[in-house]
Amino acid sequence: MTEFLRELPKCEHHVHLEGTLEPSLLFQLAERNNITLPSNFPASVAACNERYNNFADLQDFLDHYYVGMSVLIKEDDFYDLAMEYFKRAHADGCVHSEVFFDPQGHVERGIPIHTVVSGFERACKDANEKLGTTNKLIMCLLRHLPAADGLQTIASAAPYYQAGVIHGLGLDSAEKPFPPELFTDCYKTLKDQFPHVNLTAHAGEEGDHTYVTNSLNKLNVTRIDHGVNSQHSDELMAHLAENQVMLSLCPMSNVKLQVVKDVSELPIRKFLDAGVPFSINSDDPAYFGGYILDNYIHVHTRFGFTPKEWTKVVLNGINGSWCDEHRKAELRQKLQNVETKFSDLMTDN
Amino acid sequence: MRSNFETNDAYHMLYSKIFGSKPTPLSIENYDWKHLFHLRTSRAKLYTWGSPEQGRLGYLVNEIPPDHVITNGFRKGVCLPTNVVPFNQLVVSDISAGGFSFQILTNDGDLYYTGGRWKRLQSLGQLTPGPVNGRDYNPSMGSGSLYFPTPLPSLLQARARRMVGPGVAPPPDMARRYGREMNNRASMERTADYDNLTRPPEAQPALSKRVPIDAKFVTKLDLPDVLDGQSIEARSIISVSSGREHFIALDNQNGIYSWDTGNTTNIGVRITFPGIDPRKQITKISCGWNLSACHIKGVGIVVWYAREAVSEDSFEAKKLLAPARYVVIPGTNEYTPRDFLAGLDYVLIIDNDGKLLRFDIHAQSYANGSIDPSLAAKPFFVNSFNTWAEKKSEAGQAPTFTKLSGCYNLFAIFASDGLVVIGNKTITAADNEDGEPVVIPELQGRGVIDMAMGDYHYLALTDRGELLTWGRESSLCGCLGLGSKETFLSEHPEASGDSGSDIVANKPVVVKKPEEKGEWLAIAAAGWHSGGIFVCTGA
Repeated sequence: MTEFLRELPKCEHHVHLEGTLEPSLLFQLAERNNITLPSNFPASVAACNERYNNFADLQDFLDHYYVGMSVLIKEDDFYDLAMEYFKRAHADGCVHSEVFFDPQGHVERGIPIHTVVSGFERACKDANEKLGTTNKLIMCLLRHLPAADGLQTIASAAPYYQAGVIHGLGLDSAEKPFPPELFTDCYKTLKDQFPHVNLTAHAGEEGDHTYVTNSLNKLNVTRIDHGVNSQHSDELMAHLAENQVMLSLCPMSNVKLQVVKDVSELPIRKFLDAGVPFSINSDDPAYFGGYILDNYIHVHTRFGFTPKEWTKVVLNGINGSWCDEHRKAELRQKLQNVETKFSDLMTDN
Repeated sequence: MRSNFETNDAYHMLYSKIFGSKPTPLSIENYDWKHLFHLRTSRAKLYTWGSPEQGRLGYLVNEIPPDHVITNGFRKGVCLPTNVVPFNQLVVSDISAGGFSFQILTNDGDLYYTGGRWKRLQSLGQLTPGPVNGRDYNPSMGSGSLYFPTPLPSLLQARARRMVGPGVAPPPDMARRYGREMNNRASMERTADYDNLTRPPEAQPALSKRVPIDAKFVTKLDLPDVLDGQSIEARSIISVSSGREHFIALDNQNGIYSWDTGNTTNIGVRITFPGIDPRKQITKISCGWNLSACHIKGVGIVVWYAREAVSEDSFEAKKLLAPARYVVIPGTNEYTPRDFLAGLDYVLIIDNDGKLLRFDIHAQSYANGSIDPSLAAKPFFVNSFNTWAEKKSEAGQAPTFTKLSGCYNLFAIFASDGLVVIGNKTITAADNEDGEPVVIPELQGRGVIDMAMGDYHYLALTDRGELLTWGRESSLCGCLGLGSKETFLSEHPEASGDSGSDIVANKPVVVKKPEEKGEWLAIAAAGWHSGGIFVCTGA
């Protein structure tokens, strides 16, 4: 079954590139950029891995996360970061990724947005050429920063949207104190200028289901990141199913961040039965202990989806992706090939 | 019995108990207190204006009248006082302003804040007066725990228990914050009279509205469990004071709570002062920009520049105790100060003779241990101000200083002859020989009873309920409350200064009242935002 899950042509829609910085790369980049890590930071890759598995609390995680950010300086650093992720995802059978990045977190450190985007863009192209995967960049706004900063970021990113380098807009960081309504101008401004750009937002992870509803209605997003609290509104569930609004779920992250105690508590079965499309994603895999296949396996061990149910999940992920129809057709064909290859499993269910 | 409650004196007393002795236009003598009491409890509304970033005004700009909103590039501003609707169902006692939000105290003794958060995300645990050398224990990994706690079970119970029936709610006592009464009588004492006074029946419907607010940008704050022997049912907050990224509150059981850069939840951390008898009465609190202070009877003015982190034991016991790292300002145990004000790395004190003193304390250096607190210097007399007051003597007796208000590096000081002048940290420095208070002619003899100030703008409240404003409105953020730039220039050409892309009012002008008849009762300002409580007196 693990091999079946690995070979499924998976699409990932919720991964923060900054959250894929593994300790091994972190130490490499620190050395390359002559950055002295804080004295209280783990001294070796092994110690760092150990620490990442045992964060004392959220602040402990954030402290390490910000140290990680500090080693990303040059275009090559961003390239290496993204490329490491694409290779890892490819090994997990991920064929299409739509990846988040937070330019504000870099610009406020004095790193030009051009450096960030150029490095990521080059990695997307190389991953396509070398690995055969397709990848899209989604710029996220940090919701703990003022909306005016978000508007300024959108303005500075306009050339990349214009050129089709960045494909979407998202909204991340602390959800509950900063509801989606704060960012209506940001979303409207971008959409007015670039109608082809796709919109998404983190909602319904900490915030209740109204955060999802308001993201849909006020930001006009067509996808919801997390969205687990949608389960508490029948009306919203019906809307998501009827309009095929995809939720990008992050099971292992939800456990690590104590949204639930165990993956089994997530409403994944409920979403599937209600026809609410969702994909399974890794969020910040370097910090939360699992890439996309790990998340698939965790869900499988808790919910025991049949292969047919898994193919439905994967098909929903393909249909909900922001790649063109040609690529979607390719991915559906890949899925069909896997179904054929594992036909014994399929017929058993 | 009931007839006793109908007397003007009874209503005067009740008014003072509920709304404190903070001078307001309604705190004048010989007034129809019954009428005022009903106005205050049924018609007072909260208004805010200025920068609306991150919901700090308590609403979104698309929820308010379009003519209240001005756009300047990427930024928007609210340029006229705008009602914060969720508070219309509550009786608001006081408003305080921090760098990123307002703190609102209700008659029920509950405390709320506006906006996403009272501090920046990135400053967690880094700035004084939080726990700069540690962090509060909180086993939760959820990012939500940074912002919204899962209320401790006992807190939920406590809240439920506090929804009790009739009787006078423990009143906010603004004297403990402001250290003054009307007519400039210094008073830092809590009055014990009428503790058992039953609320007049007429007032009860308005006062008993303890309605939970359901608004995205207004959040109620929680308190930890009470200490042994204290009553959770009777506890209520009576005073609040705000710094840049922190604020503190005083309850009616002598407890100080802190929401600072170290808090990982919305539950206040209870500050303790090791070595000081906790039974000694705290008479006033004052938040500086990066430090906090209180006056403890018999001890003096206590300034804390940091606190210890909340321990696991204290967290698990739901007490959230945190010992302050503090100094007692030398000499302040020898008299009862008329008033004091904490600012950025300094505290101003008006002694019992009405002289101005200043105590310097570099909070960060104290917090990181590079300065030994036991070597704290005595406060020094601010000769420029004291000499100025002495020179004002015309009829033999020089005016003395009576009260302070201020924010960051700016302050206003009131004198016994009704004068009010403005100062800043620079001109009160020990080595500044040439400093002089700034006298703004338009404020003198106008009955100014309170002032508030933000980064670059000022508010003044008069005893007639008039609100004056002046200073710089950066990037058209709206903090002056005078409308659009075009409106300001056409209505106040005499006050307009060289402004570039800002609005600059180079002398005080009157802010239009939000309703035709009414008076401002309280004001607050910080950063790029302003707020006030307004009561409508019309039909």
